[in-house]
Amino acid sequence: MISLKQRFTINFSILLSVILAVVLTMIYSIFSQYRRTEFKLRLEEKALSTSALLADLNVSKQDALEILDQNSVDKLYNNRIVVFDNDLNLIYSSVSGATQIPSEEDLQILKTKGSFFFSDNKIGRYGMARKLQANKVLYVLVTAEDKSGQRLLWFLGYLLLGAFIVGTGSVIILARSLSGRILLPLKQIQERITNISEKRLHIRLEEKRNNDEMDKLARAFNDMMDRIDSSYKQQKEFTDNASHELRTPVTRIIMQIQNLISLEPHSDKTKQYLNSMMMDSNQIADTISSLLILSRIDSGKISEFFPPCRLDEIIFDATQFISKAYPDVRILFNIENHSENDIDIEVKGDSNLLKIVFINLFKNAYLYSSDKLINVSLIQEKEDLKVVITNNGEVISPDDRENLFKAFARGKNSKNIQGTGLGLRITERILNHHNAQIKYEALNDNLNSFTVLFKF
Amino acid sequence: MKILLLEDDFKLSSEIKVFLQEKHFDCDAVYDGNLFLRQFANAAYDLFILDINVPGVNGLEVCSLIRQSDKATPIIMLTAFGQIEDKVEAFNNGADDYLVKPFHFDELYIRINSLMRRNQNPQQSDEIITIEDLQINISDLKVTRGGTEIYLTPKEYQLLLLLAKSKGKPVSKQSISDIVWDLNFETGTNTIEVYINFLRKKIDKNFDVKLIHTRPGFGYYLKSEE
Repeated sequence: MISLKQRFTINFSILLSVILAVVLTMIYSIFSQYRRTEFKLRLEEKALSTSALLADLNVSKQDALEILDQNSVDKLYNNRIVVFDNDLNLIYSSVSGATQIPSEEDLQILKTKGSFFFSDNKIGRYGMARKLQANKVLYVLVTAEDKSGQRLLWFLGYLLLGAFIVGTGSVIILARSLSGRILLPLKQIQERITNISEKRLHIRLEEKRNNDEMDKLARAFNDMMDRIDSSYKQQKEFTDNASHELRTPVTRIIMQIQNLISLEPHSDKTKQYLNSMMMDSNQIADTISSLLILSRIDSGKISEFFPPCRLDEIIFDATQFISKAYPDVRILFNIENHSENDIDIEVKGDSNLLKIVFINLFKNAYLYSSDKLINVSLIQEKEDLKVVITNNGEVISPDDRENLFKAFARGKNSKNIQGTGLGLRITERILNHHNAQIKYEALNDNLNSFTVLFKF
Repeated sequence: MKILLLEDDFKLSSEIKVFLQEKHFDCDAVYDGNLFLRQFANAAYDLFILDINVPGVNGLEVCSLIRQSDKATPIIMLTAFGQIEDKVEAFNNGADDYLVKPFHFDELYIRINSLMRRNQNPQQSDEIITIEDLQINISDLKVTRGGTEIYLTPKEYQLLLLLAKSKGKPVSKQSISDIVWDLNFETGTNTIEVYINFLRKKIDKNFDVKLIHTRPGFGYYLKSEE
């Protein structure tokens, strides 16, 4: 997986270095062309000056020529000059040069064309036919090595190669930093978006108002978040409003049944029906209340800043509630300190909400127990505070464990037990809201355990 | 015994009224806050029951308006479930008790009776237990030592009170467990030690004279040092 930044860096670097390479190669080849031309001009000059001298002297005064040759300021390296007359008789040849004598072929070309210039990488050969009088022609041939031109060309070559390496290197660095800078807003956007969750829909991207592509993206994203946020709120408010609206008639029904039971004489059968209706209505009321709590937590109507409260007192409040509802319950309570610190069982939380958590867990432990005994341990460990609630009874099947904390999920073991299927859902939501966790374990075939974990 | 009920839902109101009349209370019902205040000014009542969400002046405002002129008459607030903030606000506005709708009529009956009883003999003699510089005020549940107030949780308070009342005789762990906690509630002996430690930290830690003592094999007692 290649990132956008890497791709940008690679593409940009390749493009720029190719352009650089082309430019540098052009410079090299133009200079090489220039060297050739320059070399030819020097050879030509040499030929001209030699032939002029020969023409003036009109005889071969080799010594003079050689002196002249050797003292020439514009010295051609390793040069050799040969001069022929009309009939291709050698009339002059410098001796110092080691380069080969021009061939017959060269002379033929000279005769027909008047002049030639050949040059390979090292050696250049120049020939010209110089007309002195009407019937007198001198054929001058100069061969030499272009040592200084060659050196310049080498030097330029290395210079350009160095320039290419340095250039490409800086292009890569430039491309990296440039792409980093261009993509920085994208990285910031990504970091912000990662923070968006169900509970934190208020997060918006920063709008720079400079109308560039990033800004447009940010604005489009923010618009989208506004729409999601508002539809989410509507949904939450709907649950909230619906629950409120449902509660009043349920309250009415319950109160009317209560009065009906206690104020009028009834047959046993009617009383039975009324009691059953009462129980069902109470369950509806429970469900509605639970939905309300959920929607309140979800819609952030419950504060996230909690005062410190004593976990033991919350547990005691909850056990008191359970003892009232189920007089035959027995609760075994223990505090253990497994840390090296002084015992400190304070947590930051909403005591009313946490009470609901423990009421739900104790209620479940009681209803699903075989012996009506609940074991509650408050354990302080090095980095967390744990409440472990265990009860004897049929354990939750592995299939059901996955759905344990989902709304309206009820396990196979709940056939004859009344419940809304919302208790554990609410429990989990409240605990999440407190940054606490809950987990279930079957300690053996007949021992259920729920652990609530508060981090210090 | 006259009760004034503020409840805007007609059916609920009439059901509550029927129940209260059955229990031989004299009950007047009004449907909005303004009417309630007019009625409050015109007649004398022994107890008020207020719903919070009513037209006109709402229940919480009605409650604080009552308390401006009448500090004694008990007030029970009816709150909707999930409105936890309402409960706190109800007490802040001077309510004596609250019930969450839908409530059981028997519960309402018990609350009315207990408030009435409290109201009939309001001036309990201020009973204060004093041990050295430790003072336990039983009527307002305040504990002070050397003049500074010590904040205890309900269980810590009950434990301290139990030790204080036994007047220097040791109280066994078993008795502490039975008396301070519910009957359905069993605590390990370790737990009692933890609570004695909590108490020691709050009562004795910052003072030279230690009041809470252990007699191994017998239990704990509260006494100035012999």
